[in-house]
This record gives sequence, C-alpha cells and structure tokens, in this order.
Amino acid sequence: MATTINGTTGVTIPAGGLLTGVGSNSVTTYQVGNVTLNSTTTYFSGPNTGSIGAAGEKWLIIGHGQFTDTAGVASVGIRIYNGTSALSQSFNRVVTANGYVDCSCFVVVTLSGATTFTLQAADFTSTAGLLIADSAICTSITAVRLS
Amino acid sequence: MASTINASNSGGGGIIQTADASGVLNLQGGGNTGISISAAGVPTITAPTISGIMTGVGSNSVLTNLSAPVTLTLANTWYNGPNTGSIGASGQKWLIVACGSVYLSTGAIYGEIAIHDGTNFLAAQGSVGGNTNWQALGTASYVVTLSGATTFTLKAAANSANAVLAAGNTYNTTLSPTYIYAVRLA
Repeated sequence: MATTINGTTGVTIPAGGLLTGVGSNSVTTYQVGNVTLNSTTTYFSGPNTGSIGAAGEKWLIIGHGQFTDTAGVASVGIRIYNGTSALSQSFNRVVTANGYVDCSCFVVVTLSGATTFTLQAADFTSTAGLLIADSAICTSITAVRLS
Repeated sequence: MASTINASNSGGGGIIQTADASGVLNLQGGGNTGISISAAGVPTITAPTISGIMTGVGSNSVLTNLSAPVTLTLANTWYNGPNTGSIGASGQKWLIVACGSVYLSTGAIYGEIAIHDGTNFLAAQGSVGGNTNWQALGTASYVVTLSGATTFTLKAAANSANAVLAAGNTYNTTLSPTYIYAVRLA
C-alpha cells in the first residue's frame, strides 16, 4: 500500500508493515559437548542465552534437553534458570541403561533488566547421567522477544 | 498554511519549512486529526487514523498438522511428516517448532523427530515409548534467519522397523500429536 501526503504518493509501505517486529534479536543456542550429571542433588548448567533484553521487555524462553544414563533407569529433569530462580521445569525418565529421553519446558517472562537464561539439567537417580549434545542439535535454549 | 519539503541531500536538504511566520507545522488529513509541531518543536498527536501499517510480521505464521499416520518402514531412517510449505524470504527471522509422536504396535520403541530445512537438520529430540503402542514424544524448536524461501519439514525416525508417526492419539483422535509450526519474528 502507499501512504499519501496532500494527494501525492509519498511512501510505499512494504508488505507486512513498517514494523519488522521486536523478534529480530531472538536466538537459539545449542549445547556443545555433553554435560556430566555427576551429582543427584545438583542442577548442572547447559546452554544459555547470553545476556538479553532490558527492563519491561517480554520474552518467550524455550528449553530442550536430551538425556541418557549409562547406569540404568533414571529420573531426569530440566529447568530454565534466570540466575536467581527456576522459572519452568519438566521431568522424564530414562527407562533403560543408555536409553534416551527428552524434556522440554517453556516460560514467558517480563524482564526486570538484562538477564541470562540458562538451561539446567539434573539426574536425580544416579551419577552416571548425561545431558547430551548429540549432533549438537538436541539440547538447546531459545529466546524469542515478544514485546 | 503553505509548506515546503526539501529532501535534497545537498544545500538545505532535509528541511521542512512553513511558509508563514508561525513556525507551526501541521501534518493532517481533511479532518481535525493529525500531528502538529509547535514553533518550539513540541509535537502534539491528535488521534491520527493510520491504517495498513502495523499489520505485524507474525500474520503469515503457519501451523500444519499431520493428517494421516506415516509408517516408518525401515529402522533408523528418516521419513517426512508435515511441512510448513515454502515460507519467508532472505533475511527474515522465524521460529520453527515441531512436535511429534512415534509408536510401535509390537513393543517398545525409541523415536526421534527433527526439523529439516531441505539441506540440514536444525534441531532434534527423541524419547522412548516404553511398551506396545506407547508413544515416544519429541519436541524441537529453532530460531532461524532465512537465506531465501524455505520449506521446513518435521522428519521422524525410530530404532525398529514399521513404527508409526502418529496422526492421532489414544485419548483424543481429533487432535494430531504431530505438527510443525512457523512463526515469523522479523
């Protein structure tokens, strides 16, 4: 469409509008290398978003974790951590030694300032768990700016 | 009020001048709405009517469900599920999310789903369906900047022959547990 000033075409508005969206600084970060989960009482850090955003901005954060446990059946979980608090989490179960299982969790958050979000993972059953990178595309954290 | 707009890159370029002595610039249509800038440079916006500008880039987002089951005939082989159709253009940023469910009618299964852009796998996840007909779920997502129009496909594989990429589930056959969606971000 075109915008006119005093009847004369002045500006052509590109399809999709003038606003290209705040989502332009959204990003996915993969886990590089496996993370050894060698404590059953600790969340270990996987990939993080880096410092993103500013006060008042709203973001969608998505976390995916892929697990295995070389020792056998294990309960595992992931959480999205903002440096102070866990904002979202999910759990699953490795059903056989060396079997694979995934977890995904999501949260929409309004920032109080620039924040680094980290995907953290835990194996609650054994010290033989792994958060795996598997071809470097299975474990990731994604941040999408919404407003 | 007569006005002059000089957009030249030389001389007095970029100046919007009013022809009278008031120094007040009004940008408005035939009604009383518009934008006024006082002689002191203070803008006043009076309920301007602007249409067709803020449509939002997300309006061409898409969701595609798997409409019929796909048999994964061979073990450890990727098969195509639903796709986004050709979307986007160079430089655009999109969020791609895929969810898939794989099961086997003869026992336990490990199933995996992935997002594929026609050349590369961008994201993947897999899990175990621990018994006959138990569904192994996978969810993957990725933010991608396009180099041109692209078709993203949910692909699925399993560790046993004749597994099924599900188009329905045990409790609600009207909703597909396997789908891919694309949300344009910028």
